[in-house]
Amino acid sequence: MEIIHLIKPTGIARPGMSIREVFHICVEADVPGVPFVDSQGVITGKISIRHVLKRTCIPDFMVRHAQLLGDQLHHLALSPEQVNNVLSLKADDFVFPEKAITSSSTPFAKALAIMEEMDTTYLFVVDDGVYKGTVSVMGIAQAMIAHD
Amino acid sequence: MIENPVQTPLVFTQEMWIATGILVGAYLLIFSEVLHRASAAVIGAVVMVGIGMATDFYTQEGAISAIDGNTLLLLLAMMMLVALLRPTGGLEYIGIKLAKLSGGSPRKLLVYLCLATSVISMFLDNVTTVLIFAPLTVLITRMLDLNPAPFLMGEAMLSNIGGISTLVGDPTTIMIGSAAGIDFIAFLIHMLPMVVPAWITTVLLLLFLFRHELRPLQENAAKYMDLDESKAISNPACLKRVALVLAIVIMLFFIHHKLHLFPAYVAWIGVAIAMLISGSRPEQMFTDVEWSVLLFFAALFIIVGGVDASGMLDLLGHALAEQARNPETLLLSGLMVIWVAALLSAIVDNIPITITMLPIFSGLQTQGIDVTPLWWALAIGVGLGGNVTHIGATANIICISEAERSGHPQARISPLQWFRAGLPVLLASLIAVSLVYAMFFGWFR
Repeated sequence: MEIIHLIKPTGIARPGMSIREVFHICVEADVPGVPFVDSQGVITGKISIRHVLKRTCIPDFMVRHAQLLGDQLHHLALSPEQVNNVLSLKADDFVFPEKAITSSSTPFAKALAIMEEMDTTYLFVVDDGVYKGTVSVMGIAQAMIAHD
Repeated sequence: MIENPVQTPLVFTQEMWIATGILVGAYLLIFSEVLHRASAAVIGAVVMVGIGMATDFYTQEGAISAIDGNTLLLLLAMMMLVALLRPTGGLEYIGIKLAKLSGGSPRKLLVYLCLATSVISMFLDNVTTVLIFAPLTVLITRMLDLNPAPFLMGEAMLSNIGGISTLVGDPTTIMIGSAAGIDFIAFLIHMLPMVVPAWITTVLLLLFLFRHELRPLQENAAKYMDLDESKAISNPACLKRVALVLAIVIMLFFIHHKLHLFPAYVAWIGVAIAMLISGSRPEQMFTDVEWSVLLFFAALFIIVGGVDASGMLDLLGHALAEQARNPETLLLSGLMVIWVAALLSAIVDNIPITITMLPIFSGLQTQGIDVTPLWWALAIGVGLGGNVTHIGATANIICISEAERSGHPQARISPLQWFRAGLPVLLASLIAVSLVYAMFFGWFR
């Protein structure tokens, strides 16, 4: 089985976009991240929702003591103003190098192996330098159920 | 004037020049931080042994015997015990309990957290203590909408001070205790009279310097600390077993001299019991040991051993012997050691300073000179010196890093900000310690 049938086309993030715009692209395509391309159209990295939220919304000291936290966060809770600030940030500052890229002829098992190696749940599919879309573990699970 | 029994010509031999040159070169490499300090020390040690053999003043056997096994084994065993305690959540539990006890009062919170880090640092590695307390402190202060910086600085400084009071609290005290042959109780009862005034002075000064940041909060501020300390303890059975082992070790520390046991052996008894009853995988203990620290210390012992073998430290010792031999100038010498050691430790790593001073004082001791007051002076001096700059001690660096990651706009501690608090803290605590040392000098002899 190859991943060509599981590719979900998505938009891409470009220089100058805001986090708000990138999140819209992700939500519309139902994917946790999208590729970031430079002004030449070359993929230079990715922007992941989880990465953005981790850097902007949950400080490290909260992560390390997550089990100890009660439900009343008061001063640590996210205010509407903070949410607005995060969404207004430039996406360019949240790009990180992406190696989880494969081609549409990749078999399922190889795609899963790459995901495991890269500690991610999705891959970008690129054929001859052209971005085709995203393949995720969810898509693979759906395909497995369909073959059942 | 008492005549020096051993007459050594006050001239530098070629070997002394070579050994001192290698020591200075190695220390410059360490302090410059161009290389990892352990790498720099290893290079220095290899050069010292190689050139020492080539010029006939140092041998491989001499290098190995220069390493203080008691110090390294004690450090290793304590690191292994701490590695067992760390994941149990016991220290986090104490931290949250104390925070709740403060009732949301910033001043009480600072005093309680500093007291906890000091007391824990008396028996456990202060770096570990701060590694656990610093992120917890950031969480608690951010919940109360307080600037975490004063709390973090206080914890770092007072954990450094707490560590000075016992034979096992800090690598420098371990080294001094081992070289001087001082037992745990003797160390504690001589250091506490200096550490307590230093502690009180530091806390009072921090409360004053950060009076604006520590202004009282609204009456019901405690409700903002919605933390469940019971969830900190991941494995209560394991915590009980580790606590039992630590209790046995601490109890044995208090009587080790009566049982004729080395402190290192006592710590290894603890490790052996822990291996039997803790239920933890030994790999956890081995993985969490700071091997680079142990290697750094071993390499420094070899470097200083080379300088000692060249006769340089004897020469220095004889130069100091006259002053140390005279009871009237011994107090002055002690005070000088406190201040010089503190000021040097403020600028550079206190471990190389301590390791260099050990053979000098030991040499004086073997000449029959009572250097006991100088050992206490060295221990308090090198311990306090680390508080003055942001890089003076590892605990300081950890707290600065936590402050930066806290997300509070005013929490970032610049080197100048640390110095502004660290210098008055050092000077005030040095004055307090010097007064106690001078007024009760008979106690320290």
